[in-house]
Amino acid sequence: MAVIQVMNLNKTYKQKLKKVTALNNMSFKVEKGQICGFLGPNGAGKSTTLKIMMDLIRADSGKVLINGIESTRTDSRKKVGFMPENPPYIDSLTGRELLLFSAKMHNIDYQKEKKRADELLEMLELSGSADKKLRNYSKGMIQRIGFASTLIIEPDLLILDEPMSGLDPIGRYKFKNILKEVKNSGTTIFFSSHIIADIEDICNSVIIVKDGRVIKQLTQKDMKSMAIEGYRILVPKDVKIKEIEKVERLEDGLQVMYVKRELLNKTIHDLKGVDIISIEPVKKSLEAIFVKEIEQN
Amino acid sequence: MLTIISLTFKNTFKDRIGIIILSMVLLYIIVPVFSSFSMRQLQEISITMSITINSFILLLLAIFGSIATVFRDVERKFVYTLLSHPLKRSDYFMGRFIGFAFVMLVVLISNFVLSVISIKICAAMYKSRLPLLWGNVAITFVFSYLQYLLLMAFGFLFASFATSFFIPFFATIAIFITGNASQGIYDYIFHSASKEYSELFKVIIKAIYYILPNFSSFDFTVHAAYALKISSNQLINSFVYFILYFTIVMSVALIIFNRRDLT
Amino acid sequence: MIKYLTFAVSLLLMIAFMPHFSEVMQQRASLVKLGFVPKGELYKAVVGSFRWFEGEYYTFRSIVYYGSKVKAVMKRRYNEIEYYNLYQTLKAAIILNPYNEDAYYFAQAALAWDARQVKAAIKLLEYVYKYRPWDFQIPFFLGFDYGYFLHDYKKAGEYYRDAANLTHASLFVNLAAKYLYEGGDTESAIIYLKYMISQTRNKNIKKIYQKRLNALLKVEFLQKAVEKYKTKFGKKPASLKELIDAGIIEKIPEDPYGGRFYITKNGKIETTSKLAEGWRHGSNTSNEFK
Repeated sequence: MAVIQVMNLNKTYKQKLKKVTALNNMSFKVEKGQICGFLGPNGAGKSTTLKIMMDLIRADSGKVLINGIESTRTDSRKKVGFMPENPPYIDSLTGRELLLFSAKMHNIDYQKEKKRADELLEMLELSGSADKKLRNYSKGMIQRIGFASTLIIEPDLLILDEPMSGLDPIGRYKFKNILKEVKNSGTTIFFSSHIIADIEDICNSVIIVKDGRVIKQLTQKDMKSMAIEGYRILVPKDVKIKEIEKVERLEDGLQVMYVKRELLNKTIHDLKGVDIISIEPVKKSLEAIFVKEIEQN
Repeated sequence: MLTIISLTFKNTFKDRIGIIILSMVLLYIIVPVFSSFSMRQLQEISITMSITINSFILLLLAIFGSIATVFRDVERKFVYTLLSHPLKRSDYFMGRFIGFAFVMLVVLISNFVLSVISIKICAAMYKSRLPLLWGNVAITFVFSYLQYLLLMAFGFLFASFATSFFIPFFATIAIFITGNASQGIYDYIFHSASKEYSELFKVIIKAIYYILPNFSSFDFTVHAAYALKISSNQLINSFVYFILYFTIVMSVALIIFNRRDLT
Repeated sequence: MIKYLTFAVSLLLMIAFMPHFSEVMQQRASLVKLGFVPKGELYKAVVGSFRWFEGEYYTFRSIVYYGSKVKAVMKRRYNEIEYYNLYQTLKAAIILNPYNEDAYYFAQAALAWDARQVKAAIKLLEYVYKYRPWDFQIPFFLGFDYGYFLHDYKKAGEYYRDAANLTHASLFVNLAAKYLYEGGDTESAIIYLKYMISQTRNKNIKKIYQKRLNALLKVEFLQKAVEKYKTKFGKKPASLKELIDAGIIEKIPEDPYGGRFYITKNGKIETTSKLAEGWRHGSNTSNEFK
C-alpha cells in the first residue's frame, strides 16, 4: 500500500495582486519502505507540497492521504516525523528539551523517551551540547537535533525538506548512512532536495517536479535498470572488434571498450575466447536525466 | 494541549519580554512612597495605585501575550515544527492562550500579595475615615484579570491573521483605549447631552457601543478605594458579559487561524 | 464545526444579553466618582505629548461627573460632591492643557460659585490668562470673581477694563465703569449668569445656572421696588411687607432655594438661604484649596 498518496493538488498564492500557481495538478505515490527523493529546481512546489502534507497549508483542490488518512486530519501525523527546511525550533529550548517535547507531543512514555533521547543524542554526536539552548547551535547542529526530534517518535514515515542543506560533506556522509539505517528498520523516507547527488546516492525512487507538477517518476526498477545505458569492458590491448563505438587505450597494455546496453550480449559473444578483465555498467547519471527532463518540459 | 500550555508557561518566564514585564512588579515599592505625599488620602491612594500598577502590568502582558506566542510562532515559522505533530490547530492556539493566561494569573497573584502589603503599610500610616474592604480589593483584582484576558483574546484574534507586528500591537492598544472610553462616551451622549444629538447619530453610537468591548464594566477601582458597596447583580452582569464576549472573540480567532495558510 | 457553532450560539446570547448589560451599567454610572488625580506637573512630565489629550480628558471627566451630580447641586447638598477632587482634576487638566477653554470655564462654573473656592478659581483663571491673553472671557470671569465675591472693586474694575479692551463690547465698558465707584453686585451677577447660560452646552449645568438666575432676578425685582419706595416716600422701607402695603408689589416672590427674602439695614435685599452660599457653610474664607 502506498504510504503517501498525493492526488491532484492545486494551489495558487496571491502575491500582492498577482496570482502565482505553486501547484498544478500534482499527483504521485510513495510506496512503503522506500527512500524516495523529491527532486526539482527551486520554486517547483516541493516545499508547498510538503506543507500541504503536514496541513500547514491548505490546497485549493485535491488531497493527500498519509497511510490512507487525509492529511487535514490530525491523526494522519501520528507516526510521521517532519523536518522543514532550515528547521525553525523554539530557540529557548535546549536540545534535550526539544527531543522530550517532541516525544511528549506523541504521547511517548516518559522513561522510554528519556532513554531514547540519550541514545539519539549519542548517535548524532550531540551529547556534548544536549543542554545548551538551541539559539547557540550551529546550522548543522540544528539540522541534526531536528532530525533526532523526528526519530524520537519512532516514525513510520519521515518527511524531510532539504535535510542536508546545512551539513558539511562529512555530515552529509554520516547523515546518509543514518537514513539508510532508518530505512532498513522499516521506515519510509520521503525527502526533498535540489541536490542530485544526495538523492542519487540513497534513493530507491525519485519524483522529479517542475512548475508544480510531476514531470518524471523513476521507480526502484527504473533507477536500477533504465539508467544503465552501456558497459565498459576492459580487455587486453591486442583485441580488435568491429562495431565498437569508442575505444580507449590505456598504458599498461589494456584497452577499454564502450558498448551500448543492447549490444552487450552480442559483444560478449564476439569476445569469445578473449580474456575479459572486467565489465562495468555505465549509468546514465540522474543528473543527465534530470537536466534532460527539465529542459524538455 | 497540556504540553503547549506548559511550554508557554515555562518559556515566558525564560523570555526577555517576560522578564522585563515581571520586573515591573518592583513598581510596588513606590506605592507607599507616593501615597505618603498625600495629606489625608493615604489609604485611598495606595489602593488606587496598587490597582493601577496591577492593571498596567497586566496590560503589557495582554498586549504582548499574542505577540510573544502565536504571532512569533508564525513569524519565525515555529509553527512548522509545532503543528507538524499530531496537534490540532485549535488545541495549539488555545494552549498558547491558556499558558499565557496562567502566566498572567501568577503575576496577578503576586501583585495582589504586594498590594496587600503596600496598602497595609499605607493604612497604618494614617487612619482613613473609610473602612478598608479587602473583599472589594480582591474583586477588583479578579475583574481586572478578566478585563485583560478579554483584551489578550483580542490580541490573539489579531495575531490569528496578522502578517506584521503592528497589527496585533497597535490594534490591541486601540481596543484597550476604545474599550475604556466606550461607556463614558455612551453616558455622555445618552444622558448628559442627550438632546444635542440627532436620533440617527444615537443609533450609530448605540451600535458601536454594543460592538466594542466595555472595559469599564470590569473596573471596580473606586469601589475598592472608597469602600463602596458592590452589588452581586453587577458582578454577575460583568461576568456573564466576559464569558460571552470572550467566547465570541476566541471562536472568531480560532476560525480564522484554522483557515490560515502558514506560509 | 464546533467553533462555528460556539461562535453563532454565543453571538446570539450576546445580542440577547446586551440590553440587560447596558441597563446594569447605567445603574453603575450614577456612582461616578472622580477619585484622585496625580499632580498636573508630575503628569505633564510623564505623559509627554499625550498631555494635551489627557488635559481635555480630565476636563471632560469633570464635566460628566458634575453633570451627574446636578441633583445634589440643585438641592444644595454640596457635601455629596467631591469638590476637592474636582478642583485637583481641573487643576491637573489646566496644567496639562492650559489652552483648553472648557477647563477654566468649568473651573469658574463649579468652583467659584458652588464650592465658594473663589481664590482657587481665581488662581486657575490667572494661570490660564497667561496662555490665552486674547480671551476676554477670562478677565470677565476674574472681574466678576473679584467684584462679586471678594468685593475687591479696584481689581474687578481693572479686569473688566481688560475685557472691554479685548472685545470693545459696551457690556464690559459699563461693568468696568460701574465697579470703579460702586458695587452693582446683583446686576453684574445677572449679566454674568446670562452669559454663562448662553455659553454652556451641558444641559445639567445650565439648569443650575437657570435656578440661580431666577433667584437673582427676584432679588433685582425687589431691589427696584425698594428704589421706587424710596423715591415715593423719601425713606427706606423697614420690611418687604411695606412694599405690598404701599401697592408697589403684589406679593413677595419665593426664593427658589427655599429661603425668605428680607431687607438689610442699609436697604439691600438678601435671603435667608444666602443663595450664593457654597458647600461649607460659613467657611468661605478659611479652608481654601491649596
